This record gives sequence, structure tokens and C-alpha cells, in this order.
Amino acid sequence: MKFSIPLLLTALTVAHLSRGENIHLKSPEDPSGYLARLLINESPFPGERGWVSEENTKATMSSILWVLHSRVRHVPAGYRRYELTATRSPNIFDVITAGGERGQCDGFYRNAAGELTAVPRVEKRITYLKKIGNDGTPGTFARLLNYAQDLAAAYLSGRLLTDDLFAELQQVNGTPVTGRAYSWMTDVDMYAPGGDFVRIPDQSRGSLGGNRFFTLENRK
Amino acid sequence: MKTSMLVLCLLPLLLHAAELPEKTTLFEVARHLYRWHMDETHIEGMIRNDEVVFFLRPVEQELDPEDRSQVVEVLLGGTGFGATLKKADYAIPELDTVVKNDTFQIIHVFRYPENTVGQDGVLKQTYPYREVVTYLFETRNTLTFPGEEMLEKLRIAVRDPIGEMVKKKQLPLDGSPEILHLAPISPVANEMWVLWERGQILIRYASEFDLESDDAWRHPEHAISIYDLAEQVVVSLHEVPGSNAYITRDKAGRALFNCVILGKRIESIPKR
Repeated sequence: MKFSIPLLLTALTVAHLSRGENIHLKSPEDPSGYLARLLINESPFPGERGWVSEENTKATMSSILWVLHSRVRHVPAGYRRYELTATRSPNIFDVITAGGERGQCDGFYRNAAGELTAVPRVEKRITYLKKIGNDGTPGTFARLLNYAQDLAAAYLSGRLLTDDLFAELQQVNGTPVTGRAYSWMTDVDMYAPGGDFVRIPDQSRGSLGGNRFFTLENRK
Repeated sequence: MKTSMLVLCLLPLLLHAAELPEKTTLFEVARHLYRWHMDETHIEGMIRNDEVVFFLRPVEQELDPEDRSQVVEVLLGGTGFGATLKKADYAIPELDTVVKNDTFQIIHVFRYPENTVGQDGVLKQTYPYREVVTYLFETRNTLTFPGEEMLEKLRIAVRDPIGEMVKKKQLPLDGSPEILHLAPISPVANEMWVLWERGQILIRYASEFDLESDDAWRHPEHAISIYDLAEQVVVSLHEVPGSNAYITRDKAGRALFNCVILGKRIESIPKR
């Protein structure tokens, strides 16, 4: 009896993938898994409000990470960190959990023991998305979940895998700005963080994944 | 010669070849903005010269291959308000389903400076003020509310987060009927608003899928927004910079108007 090697390899690959190994998202107890969960939580998947495309959601995840990074590492001249986030700490997880359960990163906070935690709906959605993503050959769901994990893991090991979309912004509608985004909000009903935050317009890709990103007025 | 001039004039529109919202959709967008965003000063700006003007602009988006969704910006002339509308049309192979809206749906509302209107690529649709008002008046009582089936889906969807809130607020539940106020569902906004009276809790459910479909309820976590009106209302979002967990008093007030005044009051027996 003769076997087709390519056919056998294909069958083994499909069997391997069908066993639910499309996704390498770490657990929420792992720092990179926790960070990845924030990126996923703030970004739409197909069928969800705010969905545009796979690239758009990847850009959303990347831009959210850049906001957090900029708050930690690129506080603009004339600003103090606590003006941008409800903490003076340069630790990214303190920035994420600043303000408690209803802070900047809604649903992500430290519990009474100081442990990183999230409200139950976050993990419930992750479970559902993983179930979809692990079914069959990897598609959009698997790629996006893995993308979030890859971004998070690389960041915590000192690497940023993407460029900051808003780094070169110098002015918005005639207002001099610092460049980089320092806040994001649900792009619904004209939400704005207030203060010196400046809405990044659509022409500069300021709306991603149903979120609006904001830079800062230049105080120099 | 006349034909070629006509073709030249229409060329920008032909090149776009984008589907645009129908008149009824535009009027319903105006109604939605009126109920949820505008006040009397905006209305005055809207009806100058006894006409209502809509400025439409197809929006190019970076869609996935095979995604045939259409996105259009609609500016309501004279008001400073605009809305982004999407008519979704794409498949989700992993779910073996298709997201396909019958009509354009509002996905975003924004303010615009008046002097930015009239740019290239904008199509102007003008209607007599009387025509718009007559349509809105004659259909003002044509209200669509969530039915029993949709309410049951919502109950299941919000059971856990509401349960957590009930515990935090220490609200006693003794099985007595609870009063809910349901806002009318707009034909151009795929969202539902419900006020739970005793709990002072406002619930919003929004999806890309039409709410009538089962797909809209498959995994609700991203679709739900729940606001404890006693804790999560601020006068200005300046008070809570960057947080998405709050709504303004203005927004809460409009939600209450739509739920209580325009809405439908029902009694619901809580299920464990």
C-alpha cells in the first residue's frame, strides 16, 4: 500500500490544528497574558461593534499599547505623568490599573491583595474568542488573539513590534500638538478625555476599532 | 455633446459607485440625532431657508478582502452634527455566518465645524422642511420595542454583570416584579437601551448584527454597556479623564427621556 507523503503531512497538520492549538495566548496570571487581554478587550472582533477589518483591529491593539508605553516612557515636555494617568508610577501595570475598576482601562484593576485582575466579562469573552479561534484552521480570530499575545510578550521583553502611528503628528486643526497618543476612548457620542487632550482626526487615522485616540496640546 | 457633458458632471458619482442611504434612512437619522443629541438651537440651524440639507460622503475604509460593507458620512446641515453610517456585508467563516444589514446603521455620531461642509466628494440632498417634519410627525408613534424573545436574550446576556452589580449595591431581590423601561429601537441604530427602575441601572446593547438575529446575542460581552446611574454619571468627562466607564448627565438624561417618556414600561418577574 502506497502513502502520499504530502497528503499525510497535510492530514497530520489539520489534525494537529484541530486539537485546539491555533492560539498561544498565555494565561491572565502571566504578565504578557494580562497585557494581551487588555489589548483584546479594547478591540473589536468580527461581528462586534467597531469592527472594520483585521488590519484595523491590529492597528487598534498596537496603538493602545503605544498609548500605555508613551505614558510610561514619553511624557511630553511641560507635562507630568499624573496629568496623563492617575498614577505617578512608571510601571505599565500600574498605569493600566490606575483608577481602579472604572479607571482608564475599564475593568482592569488590582484586587485587595494587589494582584492584577479583571472583571469576569473580560475572561468570558476571551474564552469565547479562543473557542472560535481554536476551531479548525487558524483564521482571523486566531490571528488577532496571537497578535495581541505577540505584541504583549515582545513589549515586556523590551521590544516594540510596531511603529507609533501618531508619533509624527505636529498639529491638529491648527493646534500644535506633542504627537503620540496619550489616551483612547470609545468613539461614541463625542466622548473626549477633556483637559489638554486633542482628538486625533480621521484623516490621521485617529479612529481605530471603534476607539478614538487623543494626543496632547504642545505646551512648549 | 449634451450627453457627454452630463456624463462628465456625474463622473465623480459614477466613479464612487457607492450605495447611499435612502431618503427614509436620512429622515430617521435626523430623528435619532434629534432624540439623542440635538437641542432646540440645533433645530433652528437645521431649518433655515425652510429646507433640510443632508451632506453625504462615502468613506473609504481599509476592509478585508471580500468585505463589501459600505460606509457613509451624513452631515445634517446647519446643526453641526453628523453621523457615520455602515451597511455591513461580510462573512465570518469561523462562525459560518454573514453580517449583512438591510439598511445603513449609525455607528458613530460626531460634531463638525460648519465651514468644513461642501468639500470635494460631498453629495448634497435637500428636502423641504415641511416634507421632513410631516414624515417625522406622521411616524412619531411608529415605535418598535424589543419583544419578549429579545428581552429574554437580553436577560441572559446581562445576567452575570447585573448580578455582580446587585451584590455590590446590596439590592434585595425577593422575586417581586421589576419595572423596566425600554427605549424605542431606531431603524438606523442597531442598539437597545433599557432602564431598570429600582436598580437605577441603564443598559445598552449594541451589535454589528441586526438585533433581531440570533448572531447578535452569541457572545454579548463586547456588546453590553451597563451604567449604575448612582455611581457612573458625571457632569463632564473632564472629571474622569480617559475612563470609558462613565456617561455624562446629559447623555443619561437623554437615555431616561427615551426610555421613560418615549419608551415602554413593562413589569418583569426576575428569574434566578
